[in-house]
Formats: sequence, structure tokens, C-alpha cells
Amino acid sequence: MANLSSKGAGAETLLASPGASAPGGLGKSARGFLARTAERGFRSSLIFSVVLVFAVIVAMMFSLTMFSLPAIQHTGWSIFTGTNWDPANDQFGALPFIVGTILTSVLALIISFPFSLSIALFLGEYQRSGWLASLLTTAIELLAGIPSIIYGAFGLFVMVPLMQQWELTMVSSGVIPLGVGILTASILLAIMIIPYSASLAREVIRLTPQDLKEAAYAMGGSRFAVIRFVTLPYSFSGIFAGQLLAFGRALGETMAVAMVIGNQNIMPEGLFSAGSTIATVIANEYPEASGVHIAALTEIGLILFLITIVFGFAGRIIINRMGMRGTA
Amino acid sequence: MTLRNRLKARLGFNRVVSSVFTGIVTFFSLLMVVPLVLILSFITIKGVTQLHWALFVSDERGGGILNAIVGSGEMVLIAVVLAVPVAVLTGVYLAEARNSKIAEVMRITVDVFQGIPSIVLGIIAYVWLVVPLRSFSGLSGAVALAIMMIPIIIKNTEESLILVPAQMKEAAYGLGAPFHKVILQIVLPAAMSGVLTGILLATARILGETAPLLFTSFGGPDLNYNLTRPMEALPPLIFKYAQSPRDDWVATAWASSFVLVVVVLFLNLLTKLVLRRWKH
Amino acid sequence: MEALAAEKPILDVRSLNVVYGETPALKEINISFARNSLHSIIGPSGCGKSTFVRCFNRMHELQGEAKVTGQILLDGDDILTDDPFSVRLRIGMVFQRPNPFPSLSIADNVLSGFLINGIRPKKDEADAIVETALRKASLWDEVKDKLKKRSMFLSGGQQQRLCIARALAVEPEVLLLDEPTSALDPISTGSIEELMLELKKSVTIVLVTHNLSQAGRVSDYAAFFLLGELIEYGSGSTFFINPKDSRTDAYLAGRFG
Repeated sequence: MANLSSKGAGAETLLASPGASAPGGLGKSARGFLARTAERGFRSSLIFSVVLVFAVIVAMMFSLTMFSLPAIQHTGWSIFTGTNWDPANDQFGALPFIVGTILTSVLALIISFPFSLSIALFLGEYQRSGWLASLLTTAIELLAGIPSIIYGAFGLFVMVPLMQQWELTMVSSGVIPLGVGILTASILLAIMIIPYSASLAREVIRLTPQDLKEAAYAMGGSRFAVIRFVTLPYSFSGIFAGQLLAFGRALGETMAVAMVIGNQNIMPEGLFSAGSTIATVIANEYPEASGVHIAALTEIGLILFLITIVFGFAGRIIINRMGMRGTA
Repeated sequence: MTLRNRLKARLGFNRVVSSVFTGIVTFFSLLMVVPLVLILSFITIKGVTQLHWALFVSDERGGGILNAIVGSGEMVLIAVVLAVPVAVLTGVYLAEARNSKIAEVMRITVDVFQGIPSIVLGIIAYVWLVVPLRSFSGLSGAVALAIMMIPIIIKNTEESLILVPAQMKEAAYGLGAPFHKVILQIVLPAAMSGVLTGILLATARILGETAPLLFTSFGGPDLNYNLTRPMEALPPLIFKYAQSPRDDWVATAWASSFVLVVVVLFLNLLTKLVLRRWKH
Repeated sequence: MEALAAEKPILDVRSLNVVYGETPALKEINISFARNSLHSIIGPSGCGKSTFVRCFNRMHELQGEAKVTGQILLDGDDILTDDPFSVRLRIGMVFQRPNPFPSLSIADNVLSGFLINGIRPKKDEADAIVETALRKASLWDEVKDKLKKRSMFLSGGQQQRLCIARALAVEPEVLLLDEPTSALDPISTGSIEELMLELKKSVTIVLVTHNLSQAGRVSDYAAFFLLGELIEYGSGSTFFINPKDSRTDAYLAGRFG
């Protein structure tokens, strides 16, 4: 509690002793006692909640690490380099999943970028209001609200057959027409992350100072020139942060990917190859795993956790520095 | 040609480039409506035709999804009960002790929290509850979902509390109201729309969550209200049935998807209504 | 006004009307501006003076639904029907708050009129443009050693002169100054005023200002706007000492505004 007093206007009110904030002669009466108890109880519950949330995070890290220990001892660093994942023989090389995770997420980011940037420019620069803008905003919100299992079902029943037909035209060049695979998963992921990166990018684009844009217009600049010369340089770091956050989301996405990636424990050989990501392997194997296997699955979960923290953290730092906390 | 004349001559070209760019931006933007329409229409068309009353009155053994609906409802409810008090109080703290060192650290923690993949939360709940209790259980699923809700509610609470005008609080303090009364009777009611929005958003989010339930609540074909036993939920049921080779199971997956989408989007809509209603 | 018609004006505004939505912002403005002199536009807030100058480089179009009728002739060409981008090259503008591009160097700021439009001058051309424009804006001596540095490190007054240099670099025929000193301290204001007196020898300046004594110090001609109407226009010497209209008199005396 003592730490609370150190800083800030808010902290003052939090710390002011219970009696002090109740003026008048109630001090010794029973009502005063009740009021003080209520006050003290409320303050304690606030602090209890904060401590609890913090403890949960710390305990999560701790539990993940402890539960991974058997695998860490058994496999060592080779979990990052091994390409053979064979639980029956206690072989746990997770490189194919790490590659699958990063590959699908990077592809998703690349595929989504023209869309998310266009949407951000459309809503942040071209049409800030009007029926077209609200149509698009609603569409984006709905896309963000659809559960990933629904994306997965859509991918499985609609995208996979379409991909398969396309792949059938490429059989002669060695493509196996699975329908499922890295590219299918990446496209689906791209659709899923567009709302996130687009809405953050829109916010920063809207923050571009009007007077700078006017200056550029007053020099004869076209709309595109103003976007290229003023808006994009100004909002670059925010757009970048949005991409980082979207990337973090793609890394951890499980269900939709699990339904369309093919779930093969192999190193992906190309865009049309089946594969797995860290999240999908956990989803598929965890329910039936035990022993070192479950520890190894927990360990790759820990790895995923740490990777997403790094990207999430980097994105947040950039956003906080821009002074726009709360827009994402 | 002088530089100024080159500049003048260039303007026509620039105008064309600008129009082309506008066209590209508009095209890419509006193209995003296509997947949305596709997803919603496929789910609706395929789902509505498979809906029948028996789905809602019998469990999986009887060919229905009642057990999953009950399980989803019960786990989400428990998750809300577990998460809301802690999260709202933490949000209050972050808003009130805005500039303290603790709040700063907590803010980063919450941001990190929010980025954790849901499948990892499943592992956590497994380690914390499934292992010690030696059984998959609805409770462990609810805990995973609760952990997922917490950061969303904290952030929404904090942000809406910060928007409450300082004069309101000062007036209340000036009248001698104690801190807890000011927060509970002045600040929280004034920020209610934001707090409720956070809770509704978080509920909608966990209602559609699958990954953390796969190996916590695990699922089971019987109607079950007991939280200490495995419990089915709608999203894992869709996952299971959608990938099955049986046509009637796939049909059930479509119907369940439709039900899920309707409920989740309804909650999202409700969120918007709450926001709009309270703002004025 | 008859006296002014003797020489050929550079700008000729004919029955200009501007309506925002339902509210008229400017009503039947007729005025003409003589070449290479400084014209100040004065009047209380909301009188339409800012809208008026923004019509000259079509900046009013950026803020949505303005309906404009009438003509503004720049050496005989109607600005309002011309291509807005080429109009803006002929009529430069400087804004209330100094707004150099923060991510660009001082030199690139001066060149920004070219850079924005996709013209990258060769090194020697660029150097010449930068030096000429900065000299015209009386900024050369202060920044000649830090042309590669970012503009954010300049003082407010220097930044505003940089904005003037930026506008001058593309050699406009008219320079619009929209309350250019309202965000500056008295010393910077003084230096900008000196600069205006120097510049008006070679370029026509239209100055919007709230500062009546400033208008008095620098104007060759002055126009008084009230509620979207042009009340009075005349040469500076008579306008400020002996206004014809009682409303102008009242405004100058500080009785409203």
C-alpha cells in the first residue's frame, strides 16, 4: 500500500486514510465505524485485484516453464533445430512448426497489407464519413467479431475446394492438389487480421495534422502526393505497430488455421504444401498427450507465448510513444 | 525547359496518378466486403436449412446440440462471474492511480496479457486445474475463458473511467463523500457504458472461443450441468463435426455455426447499442 | 476603387459568392488588386476574410460543401474554373501556424514544392533555388550552415520565414498570408513584417490579419470585411486615417471585433 502514495493525483485519493475523507463528527459513532470499514474494504479489494492480475501473469510464466521442464531437459536446444517430431519415439524437433507458424503469419501479413492500408486510407483520408464509410466500418467490425471457428468452417468448406480447383491446373508443375496447406491458411489468416491492422492504421492516419496536409496541398500537391509526402511518413510508425500487433495475432491463431493447413508434421516444402503451426500442433495433440510429449507441447506453447509477447510489446511501445493508447 | 515549367507540365501526370491511386484504394477497401458477405451468406444459407427444433431440445446422443448450448452458456457465465469483479476493480485502480509506477507496470502487463494466444491460456488452465483435479472439467474451461476476458474488460473500464470529468469527482469529494462512494456511486455509473461495452465485447469474444476449451472442458455427448466434469461447448462441437465424414454431422456443424454467429453478432450489436444509448 | 482601376490589376474578383450549406459566407464581392503591392484584409472573426483568401488558391474545396459563384481573374485567367493544382503554383500560401514539414531538412522544405510534385532538381539547380528562396525570405544567413538539419530546431519566426521561402521557391505571382504572425512573438512578428515590406516589391501579397496596427504599418491597400460583405476598400494611407464607412471607423476604433 505504501507504494501507492508515491505518485499521481489519483494515488492521493487512493491513499488518503479512510477517516480523513469522512468529515464531521461521525468519527466515533457506529456509522463512522461502518463507513471506515466499507472504505477500507473497497481500497483493499482494489489492491487485491491488481495484485491478483499481476500474480496470474507471473504464475502463468512460472507454470508454463515448470510444466515444460521434462521436455527442456530431454530435448535441450534441439527443439529449435530438430525437424523430426515423433512423440512415439520421444523425438521432439519443433522446427517445422516454428517455420510453419512464421511462414503463414508473414504471408498473411503480406497478403493483408494492401487491403489494410487501403481501408485505413479510405476511412482515414478519403471518406471519413458518409454511407460508404459506415458500410465499410460496419463490415470491418463484423469481420473482427466473427469467431475463428467460423472462419475455419468457411475455409474448410468454401476456400479449400476453390484452392483445390486452382491447384488442379498446376498439377503438371508438381503441385499436389490438396486444397489445404500453407497458402490456404495464410489467405484465411490475412482476412482475419485485416480488421486489426486496418483499424489501428486508420486511427494514426486520422492523427496526421491538417495543417501539414494543407501545406502540401497549397504547394500544388495532388491527393496522392499529399498521402505519399505527408500522411504516410507521419503515420508510418503507427502503421508499423499495427502490423506488429496483427502479426502477433496471426502467430497465435489456432482454429481457423488448424482446419485448413493440413496438419502434417513436416517441414513445409512450398506454398501448396501441407504443414502445421505451433498452435495447431498443440490443439491437435494436447488432449491425448502425456509424459515428455505433453511437456514438449507445453514448451512450444511457452515459445509461442514468448514470441507473441515480444511482438506485442514492440507494437505497444510504438503506440504508447505516439500517445495513442486506447485505440487498439 | 525551366524547372518551373517542368513542374507545371508534370501536374497533369500527377493528377492521373492520383486518380488511379484513389481507384486502387477504393477497390481494395470495398473488396473486403466480399469475404464478409460470403461468410455470412454461406453460414446463413447452409445453417438455416439445417435448423430444426430437435437440435435445441436433445443432446448429442439424441442428435441435438443442447449439451453444447448448455455447456457454452454455463462456462461463459462462470467466466463472466470470475472475471468481471477482478477486471473492473483493476480498471478502476489503473484509472484512479493513473500516474503511479504500479499503474504503469500494470498497463504493460495488461497489454502483454491481451496478446497471449488463447491456445496458451488453454495450457495454463490445463496445468492449473485439469492436472490437479485429474479430470477435464467445465470449470477449467471457464477459468481459461475468464483469463481471456480480464484484459479486455480492464482496458475498457480504465479508458471509460478516465473520460469521466474530474469536476464530477471533485464535487463529490467536496461534499465529503468517501472514496468508495465516489467511485461506486458517481464514477462507475457515469462510465457505465464503457464498462458494459468491455464486458459485452469480452463475452462475445469468449463465446466463440474454441482453442482453450479443446483440452480443458474437452466435451462430451451428454447433457451435463456439473462443472467438475467434461463439458461440451458450441465452438468445439463445430470443430469436431465440421471435419467429420458424416453428412448429418456436417449438417449439424452448419446449423451450430449459424446459431453461434447469430448470438455473437447479436452481442456485438448490443455493444454498439449500449455505447450509443449511454453516450447521450 | 476607381483610382485603382487605372493600372491593370493582377487579381480581379467579380461578384464572388460563397455559400456553406445554407449559410452565405461571402456576398457579392467585387474587388481588384494592383500588382506588386500589399493588400491587407481585415475584419472581425467570422467575417469571411479567411474564406475569401482561401478561394484564391482553391483551398476552400478541401473542406467540403462550399458553393462558389462568380469569377476571380488572375491576369485574365479564371482561377475558379482553372485546374486547382496549377492555380496553387501561381498563388502561394502561408498559414497561421508555421508548418514546415517536420521530417524534412531545411533545404528539402524549401524544395518541397518540387519534391511533392515528383520533380527532383539537380544538385546545382537545387542549391540555387534554396539559396535564392532563403535569401528572399531573409533566412539565408541564419541557416546557411545547417541546411541539412531538420526544420524543427528553428524558432517559430524562423520556421514561418522558412514557410515563406518554401512558397517563394516555386515563384508564385501572388502570395497569400493567412494571419502569418498570429502564433509568433513580437520580435519574430517584426521580422516578418520587415520581410513583407521587402517582398511586396516583387510579388503581390494578400495579407489576412487581426492585427490592425500591423495592417497599418505594411499595407498599400486595405479591405474591411463584415458579415461576409466587403464594406470598404482603399489605399492604406486614407483607409486607416480617414475611413469612409462608419462601420470601418467603428472597427478601427476598436468598438467591436
